Order: sequence, then C-alpha cells, then structure tokens
Amino acid sequence: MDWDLSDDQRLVRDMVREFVDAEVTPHAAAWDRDKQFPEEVFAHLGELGLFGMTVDEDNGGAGLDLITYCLVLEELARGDASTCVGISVTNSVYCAPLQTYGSEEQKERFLRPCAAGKWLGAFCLSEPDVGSDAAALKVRADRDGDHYIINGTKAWVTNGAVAGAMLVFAVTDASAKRGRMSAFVVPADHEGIAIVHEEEKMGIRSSRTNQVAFDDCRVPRQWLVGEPGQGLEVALHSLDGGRAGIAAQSVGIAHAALRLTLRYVCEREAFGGPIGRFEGLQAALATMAAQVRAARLLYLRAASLRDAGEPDTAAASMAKLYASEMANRIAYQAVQMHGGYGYVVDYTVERLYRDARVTTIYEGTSEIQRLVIARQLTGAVRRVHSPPAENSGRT
Amino acid sequence: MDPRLNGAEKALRARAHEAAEAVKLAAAAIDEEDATPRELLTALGEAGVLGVCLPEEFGGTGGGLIEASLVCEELGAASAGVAAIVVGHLMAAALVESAGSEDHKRDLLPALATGTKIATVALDGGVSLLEEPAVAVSATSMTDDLGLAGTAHAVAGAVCADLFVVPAAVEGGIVIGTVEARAPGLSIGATEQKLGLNGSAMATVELSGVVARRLGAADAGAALAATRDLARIGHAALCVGIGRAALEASTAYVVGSEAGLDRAQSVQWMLADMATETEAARLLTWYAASASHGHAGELREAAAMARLVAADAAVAASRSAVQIFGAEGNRRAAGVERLYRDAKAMEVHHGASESQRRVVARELLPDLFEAASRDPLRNPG
Repeated sequence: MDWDLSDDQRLVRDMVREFVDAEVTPHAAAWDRDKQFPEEVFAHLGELGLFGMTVDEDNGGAGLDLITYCLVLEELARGDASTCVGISVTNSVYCAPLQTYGSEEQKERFLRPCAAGKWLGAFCLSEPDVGSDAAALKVRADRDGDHYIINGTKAWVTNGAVAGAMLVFAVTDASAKRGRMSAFVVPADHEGIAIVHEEEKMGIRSSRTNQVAFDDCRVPRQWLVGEPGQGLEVALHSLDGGRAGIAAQSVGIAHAALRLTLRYVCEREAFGGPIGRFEGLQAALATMAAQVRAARLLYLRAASLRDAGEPDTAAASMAKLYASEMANRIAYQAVQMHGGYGYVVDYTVERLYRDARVTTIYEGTSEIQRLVIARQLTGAVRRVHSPPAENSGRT
Repeated sequence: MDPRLNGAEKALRARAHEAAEAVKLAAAAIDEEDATPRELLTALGEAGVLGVCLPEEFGGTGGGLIEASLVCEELGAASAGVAAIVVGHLMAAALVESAGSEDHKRDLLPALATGTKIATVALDGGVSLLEEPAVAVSATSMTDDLGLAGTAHAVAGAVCADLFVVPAAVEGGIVIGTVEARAPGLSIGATEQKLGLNGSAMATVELSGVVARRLGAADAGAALAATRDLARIGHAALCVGIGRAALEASTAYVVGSEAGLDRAQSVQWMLADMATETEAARLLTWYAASASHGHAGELREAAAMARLVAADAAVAASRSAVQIFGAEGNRRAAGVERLYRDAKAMEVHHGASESQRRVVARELLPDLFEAASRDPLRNPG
C-alpha cells in the first residue's frame, strides 16, 4: 500500500491551488453576493485544461487520472464550491460519458471542443417531478424518420444557461420495462431548447442552476449517445463516476471551514486569551480534522480503485455519503465557533455552511447512497462467503 | 498512490485471519470467564503473529506498523480481549527492539517473536480521560541495573506476562527496564470485573524494590514515543476489527432473516453507516501506519486521529449491531452484545478518546502549544 502522491499528481494539485488562491478565493464572496457567474475565470480554467481532465489526450483532454481530478476538485472547492461544481459537472457527467459511450463523430463535435476549454457541458436528467427515481423520466424523445423530437422540461441543470452543449436523457420507448430511455447530446443553441427558469438557491449561488425546456426539439439520430434504450445505464455510469469528485468537493468546503476556524480561534480572545485554548473547542477541532482527513482518504480510495480498473460502487458511495455529511457537520461547527461573526457575510463560514448544504442532496442523496451501499453489502453475503476480501470495504 | 494491499500484505492478512479463527471460536468463553487460555497465545506465536514487528534475525517476520495493524484488526474482529494482550506484547517487543542493546535483543527478542514468552509494557493506564497512560514508575540507577518502584494500573497482559518492559523516570529523562514476572518485589493484582475487554489479562502491576535490567539506550524517550504510536495504531486497528465483526454479524443476520430485514430502510441505513464509518477508521489507521510522515509529530497526529475515530466507529457499529438483532441483540448467546461492551471499553482503554484529541490539538494549534509552526492540514503526499 502506498499513500504518497506521484510528482505529477502533486504538481497539478499545486498548480490549481495557486490559481485558486490568486483568482478564485478572493472573489468568491462577491460572486455569491451578486449571483455572478465568473465567465472569465471559467475561461481561464478552460485554458488550463480543467474542463476535460480525464478525457484522453486523443480526444483533446488532459489525460489525467481520477485521483488527480479529485485533488483538483478539492482545491477548487476550497476556494469556491460554485466554481467547483461547474467544473465537476462538465467533467464527470458531460465529458466522461461522451468519452465512454460517444461515437467518433460525437466526440469530435461535442467532446473535443469542451475538453479544450471552449465551453462548459451540462447534464439534463432530473425533471421537476423526477429526482432519485431516475427511471421514471417523463421527457420524451419520439422517433420521426432520421430524427428524434424531444419534448418536456428538465430541472436542476447545473450550467444550463452557460453550457455549450448538454447531455439529455429522454424516454424513447415508453412501453418497455427495460431500455425505456436513451441519452442524447444536443448543442445548447439548437432550435427548440430554451432556458425557462433559474433557481434562486441557498448556496452555490454563483453556479447557474436552470430549468431547460424542450419544445419540439428536433435532433438527428446521430446525436443519440450509446445504443437506443441504453440511457439509464449511461446516466448511472456517469453518476457513479462523479461520486468521488463530489466527495472531493465536500472535503474542499470542509477543509476551508476548518482552516478558517483554526485561524479564528487563535485570534479571537475571551476570558483572558485566545479561545483556542479552551479544551472543548480543541476537542471538537481535533475530531473535525480527523473526519476531514478520513473523507479525503475515502475519496482517494474510490478514485484509485477506479484508476486501477477495479471500480467499487460502494466505495464511491461511501466517500460521497461520508464527505457530504461531514462537510455539513464541520460547517455547522465552524459557524458556531465564530460566534456572532459566523452568522454575518463579512466572514466566509456562513457561505460555506450554505454551500455545504446541497452536497448531501445532489448527485445522489445520502439516502440513495445508503441504499447503494447496503445493496452491495447484502448482495455480497448472499453470493459466496469467502475469506477476507482483497480490498477492504467489501466485508 | 494506491491504497490497496499489495501481495505480501494480503498474504499476511490471510495468515492472521486464519490464526484468529481459533480465537473467534473461543471468544464467548474468554469473555464469560475473563481468561485467555495460554495455548491460544502460544498458537498465535507459532503462526508468526507475535513477531510480526520484529526483525527476521530475531525470529520475527520483519514487518512494521501496517503489518501490526493488519494483525490487530483480525484479532480485534475475533476477540478484543485477546487483541489487547497482543497489542501489549507487540509494544513490549518493539520497545526492546528500539531501546535495547544488541545483547538484550539477542537475549529477549527470540522468545517474544515465537510467543514462548509473553510480554507487556507497564505504563499506568489508571489515568484520567484526558491523559495518556503515564510513566508511573521511578528508577534509581545501579551499575548495570535499575531499581524500580511504582504502580501501573490497568495493564493489559499483566496476568499472563512472563516479561515486563517498564518505562521509568529518572532525573532528566526516561529509562527502560525489563523484569521477569517472578522477580522479587513485583506483584500482580487480581483481575477485576470489567465492562469489556474481558480476557485481556488486565491487572495492576506493583513494583517495590524491583531490580530490572536496564535496556541500553541513554534516553529512551524517543523509543517510548514510537511505542505509543504503535499502541495507537494497534488499538485503532483492534477497534476497526470490532466494527467489522459487528458489520459481518449484522449483514449475515439480515440476509438470513425471514422478516424482510434486508428491505427495511432503517436497517439498510444502519448497515451502510456501519460499513462507511468502519472503512473511514480503517483508512485513517492504514494512512497513519504507512504514509511517509515528514516528522514524528505528523505520525503522532495521524495515529491519534485513527485511534479516536476508530473507537467512535466501533461503538457506533456495535450499537447498531445490537439494534439490528432486535431482542436477540440483548442475549449473550447471540454474540453481538460483547462487541458493544468491548467497543465502549476501548473508548477509555490505554489513551481515552479525549486524550487522543489533545494529541491532535497540539498539532493543529501549534502556536497555542509553543511548537514549531507548520501546515497541519496538508493533503497526503
């Protein structure tokens, strides 16, 4: 076993850290206050190759491993969770599925420019009435000769208003029990697509979260990604791959909250000295620090198993579940330890508390993650009872 | 960066698992009688478990902290009481190995590697929840020997140890003495009734005018500090073992139940949380045991983090196990209530969670502790 990062991994992480410290962290509060999507910063991140980090170099990407990708997301989230989520959605649920399931033409037209940093991607799965129950989609794509006509409204689309293209999931065979839906890739400016609503959110406020309406949106069958009826598989595969990244994002938020709080308790004085000398606060901070590290190790494990060709669904779910719940706990305590200052916008922790809140909800709620983990545990016991599993976590 | 076990690590884990089978079968009786049969420890010695951290030249298998954690998890999953004896033995062996002269190592280590002799470290575990086990013995120097006096409470392995490794205070530092169990002036108290860790051979060790052999090192402070890290990691792994045992018992029970437990969300969620928290504790333990730590403070912080998270995870997992078993969980015969008692005992045994948090806090807030300033939150690597 080896916990040390390679030189390349450390290099990329440090480069992003430097960029974030200089160009992201100082502005995050203003972007949050004004709900301002920072176009120029995203353009820079695109130039740095951060839109298609795990996309092969052949397809115009950076060819990085998932470990590096996750380390980058943690750095981005330490500065600004909104910026991070725009990048993570583009990478894990737009670029990654196109790389796995896309045709050569689709990759050339829809993957390469995005990976090169030209525009962001978006992922249209959820609908106003459909979230966790992804198989129950209502948006339809009806076959018409060489085209499909997409009708319906998608919800909770990160980057909806700013993406260059979107991955869209729609029902292509309503009567089928399996293979009911298919995935399509569609340019954002295609006729029949409209951004009809922008969500006003508690947190990640500079991230665009939209409802996207498809009104007789006519797309050529060449834009169907994968096989007809393979849509659910494409969707779940993408989400599975994104889980370690969301865990990393959660760790970034928590890490920021912890660092700020450590600094604050050394500066703030009460009862004759810095409040950091009180045993109750020290004990809580120690537990927080341990849990931040545990979450980091969980996402590194999930990412490295995938990199090694041994993807473990439960490992990814454990990372996402633990890290997101932990980030919420840490942000809560960070606000508390800042006292009144934790409650006002002049200090960063209140934004971190609001930003953390969504992490247990999107990309698979905590409840769904627990379901996934439990299924793998009980399924394993049912199969064959064997000597200690080669990888931990399957016991 | 690859946190998977390599081939040698997997093989060791499998061997330890096999050796722990006999312990698992005896666990209920060990808990009932609060006694571990000597034959079990001898068998662990023969399986190479007791020499896992000792160099091959002394009969060990040349492993380090990661090997210790693999062994301690397997034993912790079988019987926490037995595992506690083994942690004490590994600590004693490591202390002799790091503080002893070549003569001492040749004299003492082979018997410890094979388990012919069982050893333990006489640190005083009867401290407050805020403190780590203390050096409670003082030493006066004789020519080659030490005269020891003091009392060490709650020493795991004390009742069955053949050899005691005793850290003692002298003016200006720490020295280490070794003394046989039958030495004049050394008395072992009676085993007391406990909540958990039955079978850990835990008792008070009293020394009065005991003549001990002095281990070579002039100041054994660093050796003792390293042994404390081994203790943290070994005990953390022991707790991971309890958590895993709780998870395995619960999963088997759920799958085998006819009451549709596997479809009950509240049960699914408990299983998922048990698995997740146990895995988090395991990774913290492995990270402490195997990452390249820049300096001693980083290892200490990592080991303390593992220790405190693992104890908490073990309590949470074993509590859920009792719950999942329903009324069955309350029956001794079902085998899960013991895990809950052992886990709770581990929250206070040999460095309670609060004392571990203090260790971590010293590293997180160096300016408040007059330590050299550095980045305590760096990513691994």
